[in-house]
Amino acid sequence: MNVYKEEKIMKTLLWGSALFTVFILVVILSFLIIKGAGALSIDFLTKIPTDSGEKGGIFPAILGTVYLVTIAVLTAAPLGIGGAIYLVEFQREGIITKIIRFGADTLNGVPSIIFGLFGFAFLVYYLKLGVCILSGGLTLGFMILPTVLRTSEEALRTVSRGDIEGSYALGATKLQTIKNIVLPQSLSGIITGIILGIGRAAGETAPIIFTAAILNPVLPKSVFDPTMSLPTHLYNLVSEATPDKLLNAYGTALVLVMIILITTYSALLLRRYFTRNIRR
Amino acid sequence: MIMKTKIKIENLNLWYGTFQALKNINLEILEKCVTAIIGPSGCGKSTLIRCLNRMNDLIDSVRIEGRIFIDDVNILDDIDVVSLRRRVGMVFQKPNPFPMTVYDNIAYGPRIHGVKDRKTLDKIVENTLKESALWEEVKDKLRTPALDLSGGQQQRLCIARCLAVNPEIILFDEPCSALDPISTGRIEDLIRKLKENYTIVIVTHNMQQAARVSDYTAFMYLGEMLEFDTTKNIFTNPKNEKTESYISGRFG
Amino acid sequence: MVKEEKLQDMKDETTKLAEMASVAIENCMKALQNRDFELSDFIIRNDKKINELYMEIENKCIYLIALEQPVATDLRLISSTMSITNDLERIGDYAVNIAKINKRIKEKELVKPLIDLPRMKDIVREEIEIGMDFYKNMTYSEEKLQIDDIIDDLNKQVFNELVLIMMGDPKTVDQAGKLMLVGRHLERAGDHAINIANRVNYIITGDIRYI
Repeated sequence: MNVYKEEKIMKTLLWGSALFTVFILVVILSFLIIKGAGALSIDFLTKIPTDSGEKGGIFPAILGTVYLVTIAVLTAAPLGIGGAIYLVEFQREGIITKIIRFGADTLNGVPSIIFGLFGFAFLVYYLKLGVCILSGGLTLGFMILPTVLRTSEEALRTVSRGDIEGSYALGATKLQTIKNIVLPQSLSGIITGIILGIGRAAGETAPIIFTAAILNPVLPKSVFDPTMSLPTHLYNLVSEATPDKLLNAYGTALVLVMIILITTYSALLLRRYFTRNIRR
Repeated sequence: MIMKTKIKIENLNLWYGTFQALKNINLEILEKCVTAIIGPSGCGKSTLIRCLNRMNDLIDSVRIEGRIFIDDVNILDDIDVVSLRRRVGMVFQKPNPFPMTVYDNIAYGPRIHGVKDRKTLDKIVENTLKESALWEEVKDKLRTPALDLSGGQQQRLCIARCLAVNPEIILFDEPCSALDPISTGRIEDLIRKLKENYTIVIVTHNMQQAARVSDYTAFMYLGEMLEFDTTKNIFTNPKNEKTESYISGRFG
Repeated sequence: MVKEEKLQDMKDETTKLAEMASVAIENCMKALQNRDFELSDFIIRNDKKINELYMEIENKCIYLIALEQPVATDLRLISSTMSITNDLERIGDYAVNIAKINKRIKEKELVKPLIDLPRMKDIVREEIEIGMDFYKNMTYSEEKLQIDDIIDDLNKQVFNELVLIMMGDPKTVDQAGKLMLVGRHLERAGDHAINIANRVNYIITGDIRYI
């Protein structure tokens, strides 16, 4: 076998692997669309569920998921970005940065059910927040914090040292430099991190089962009320599988995936908007 | 003509960790002159000028001993680094315009120092661009991204940006090493022009450049300053053998 | 690229040097004709200034080469200027030699009226002017240099004339020999002036045969 042939075979194999990823995505999406599209209707999106999900819509679950994700992002973004800025711009490389990074990576590997347990024990019981949107949102926030922190850190590290030095050389303070040079240039990377976080937070079931989710189809009045959410609702529908519930389950799954796709896409647009002036 | 000493470096020693990068440097830099610092790679040239605006503060594990006086004030003391860097501007090796418009690049310095007024900023932008011989080329492009300019224009923009905060001293850290000969010539012309109003220190790998633009030349080798004299003397009759070998291209 | 002003400054100084050398040639012959020893002394003293200016220009050229890295025409101009100033300085030296001869002849009456030697001097001055005109305007024409043949002819004529005088009266040998030297010096000064003109041709063409 000559080298040329070998290369051709390698290329085909690699191309196959890449194609397979897209293939799986397409299969899942089409599966959801075929099975779930029938459930979709205006009512499905705007009505509350009746007969424990057999009839009616999923509006409280959509709303709950949006609330939870919003709180999770509001928690994780400032902490994650702040921590990353500290790591990159304030703390010299050494034992402290190593510990922080190791901590974040370990936290990232902790199973989501453990986060749920922690949220339940610490937020719900110890801090007496109760089962509510706030507890769930915070738990999700803690869960995606390492993702946001590590991706933000990577993004901050890509900022041109030349630009940072240029800014200092003009007499800018550290804060001015971070605000005017570092953040604008790393925003796109940071937003990517947040998108990843949103995707994960919206889809997770385990952390909110104990901390925020209920099955009662009521609309939450404040963040201190418990709520339905898409993943938990889906879980319940599937576990009591009657034909109607299964149809609604596929519908719910489709809505969840759509919400994640829409958020991701709008975040990408946002990223493009923020980086419109930055060209390298 | 009696020239005033602008910068006086006394017994300066600098260590990166345990490595001594500067060894007992003594140097007097005259006001409104161009002083070039030459020497082979790693001889400490850049380190030395980075002491003059305390850019070494940004690097881990630097330890400095000795004194550097600018207008009789020791800048290695506990002084306001922000106002020091405003007085001592710096132009870097690689043109580093910020990823903003041409206008915002120049307005960056004045803005961080509190200039908000639109008219004042307009005036500063125009004046500094004229001073750095860039106005004619970019006056219609003030709102375009600075990174769309050519390399040479970007470097002149960086010079303009540096002038915008009204420095007294401008440090050039190998300003032409990334530029073509024509752009290099423009920057050199500009440096010769700027010395009427500013004290200039330029680090360069290019000995011919030092010969062309500077009034005084310092030769550094392995962290030591081996010779300092008028550029004419250095390039026609150097006293130190090492200087002679270096400028003749025998090493470095 | 060498700055135009710096080259112009160098050329101006060289022109000044040429004027000084030319005036020295004029004066040394005037002193000889008028038996004016004071003027001779002045020429000898003044040669110091010529030498100083020569060194100054040469030094400037060295700085230009060291600091501005001239190439091509600029380089030929600067290096040729160094040799042109050398020629001019030599012309100044010949003027000094003639001034000294005037003093050595002392109060004695000249053995013959000076006719051809002053004519040689005029041609030497004209040659300097031609050379410097080429230098200033960077032009060259070979025909203009033909006048050098006249100097050679005149020198031979003066030589033969003086040999006859010496043969007629042995007492004139000393002075006639000195006057022969004056002719010889003027002829050499003329050669240096011709060198200047040829150097300019080298600057223009880069043809090393004109070095």
